[in-house]
Amino acid sequence: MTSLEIGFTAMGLLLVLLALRVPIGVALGVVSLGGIYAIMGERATIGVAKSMVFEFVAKWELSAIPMFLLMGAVAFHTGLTKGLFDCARLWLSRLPGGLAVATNYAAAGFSAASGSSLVTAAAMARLAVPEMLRYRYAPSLATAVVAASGTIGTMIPPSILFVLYRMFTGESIGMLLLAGILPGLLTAFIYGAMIILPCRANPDLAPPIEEEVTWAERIEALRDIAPLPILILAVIGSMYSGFATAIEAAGFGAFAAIIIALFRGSMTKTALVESIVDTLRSTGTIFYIAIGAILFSRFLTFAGVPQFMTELANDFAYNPLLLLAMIGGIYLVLGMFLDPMGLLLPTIPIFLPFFEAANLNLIWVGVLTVKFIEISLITPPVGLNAYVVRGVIGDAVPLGAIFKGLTWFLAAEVVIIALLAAFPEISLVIPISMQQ
Amino acid sequence: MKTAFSTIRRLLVILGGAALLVMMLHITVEVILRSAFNITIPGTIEFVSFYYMVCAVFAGLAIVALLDEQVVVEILLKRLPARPLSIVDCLAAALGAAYAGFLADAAWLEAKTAFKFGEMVPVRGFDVPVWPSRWVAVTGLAIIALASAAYAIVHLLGRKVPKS
Repeated sequence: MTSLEIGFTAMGLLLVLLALRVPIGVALGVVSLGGIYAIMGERATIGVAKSMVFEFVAKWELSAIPMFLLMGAVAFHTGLTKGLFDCARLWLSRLPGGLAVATNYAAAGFSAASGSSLVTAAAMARLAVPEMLRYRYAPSLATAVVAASGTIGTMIPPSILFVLYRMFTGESIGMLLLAGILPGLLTAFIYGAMIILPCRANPDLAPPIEEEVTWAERIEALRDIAPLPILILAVIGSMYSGFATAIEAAGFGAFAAIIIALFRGSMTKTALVESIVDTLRSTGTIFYIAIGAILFSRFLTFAGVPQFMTELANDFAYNPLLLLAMIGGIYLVLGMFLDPMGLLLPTIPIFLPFFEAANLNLIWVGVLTVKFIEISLITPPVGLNAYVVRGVIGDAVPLGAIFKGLTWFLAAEVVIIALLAAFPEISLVIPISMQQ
Repeated sequence: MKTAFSTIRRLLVILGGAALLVMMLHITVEVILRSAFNITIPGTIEFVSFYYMVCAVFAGLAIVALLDEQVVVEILLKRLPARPLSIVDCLAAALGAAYAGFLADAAWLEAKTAFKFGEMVPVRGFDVPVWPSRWVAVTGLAIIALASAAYAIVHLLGRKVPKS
């Protein structure tokens, strides 16, 4: 077999192992080491295993991952999420579908503390779904809005996926993170409109709430979320102004989250321990897959797959939109089985030659790639966010109902993707202004 | 096995948690000192990379292995009956143990060399020894290998309800 044949055989074997319930990280690592052995022999395989794992972990740039995770975990365990939802509810509950709209914007707010869609969806599900069901909202709407708005968690900085994307593309991490701001807000805005329109047409979806809210209560609720702008300033502000580098902004943001919680009197020992345990578990889960993926990308290089892809890519380079549509389609299909890390990490080294051949802006492509992955989180049969919501609320709402509710949001995503693809400025205006 | 696992897990949480908090404080102090007084602490990047990151990540990896929480694609074999499913899971866990064992062995070879030569990285004016963190990697990977092997046996005996 030629190296290239070994490369493609290994990719097939990878899918078989995944189907046989081998953990994604293990499957990636095993086929990579096996493939390197087949191409280069024993010494090279041991050499790769000896050096790559440790060098990958002991990396300054990746310290942003545990630090962003810690920041989100602290914000959640010390009650920032609850304050956000309560505040959004008091301000927005009068709108058609008001609680769902409130959930959507509260999720967008929490996204400024959380770098992961799954975490954002889980946090909002605990708070918002029982509340919406209590007010007799359609269960499909109540659950779908949480699953969908959770995806904003990755777009608005901090963002774990952008940190990992950067590892393969070498783009500036700060510019990537800032590039997510407007697309994230755009998503929240279009989702908001997408909730209001059907709820206005069909009040059964979300019965109006007869609750008298005074302005004093609303102002009081705003006071409760006053720390959020401080947190945004600590992360986005310090990054944008150059006060801290993007990597440092993660550690600084985690510190700010803890200080805010201390000032609010909500930093208990339990909250701290739970935040730490959550952070370590998420870090472990991500690195399990990421280590496998880094071995996989090295193996692909040995096998000559990226070079082969580059030759293939030249045929597609003439039509970037066709290329993006094709890659979006591949993500949608693979997203039926794989989680965000499992989707992003092994595919980037394969797709990168295409992006480069078509001379696309890698920051803009990064935003679109993350968007594709986010959409795969809400498409059946394995929209992970739908599973997360169901995992949190139990059997009260069947999975089918959640996916039914999600069709509205998928329609919204078509509009969002079209806008992001047609107007790269939405993604690029903030990072470019930072550069200047 | 349960008590042993939870004791190890508690130790890992202490080690990893300490690494997380110290990493956060070190970075914050660096940022504030640099912005306010134009002072940089020598070796921040090296300490974060070689010590805090190595401890936090390998502790996290080992905790995930002890909890048997690695991400698995479940959809395809979901409808298989419990017994065949636990055999499939046993093989998957055994493969995971072999993988982690191979990586642990490689890390061990590297750690021995690093120890022998007293591996260091240069930081403005002095050298920071980094060989100890090689052993953290060996320990973490060894725990993963042992935990995965233990879960392979548990699945083989059908003692654990398969994930669904």
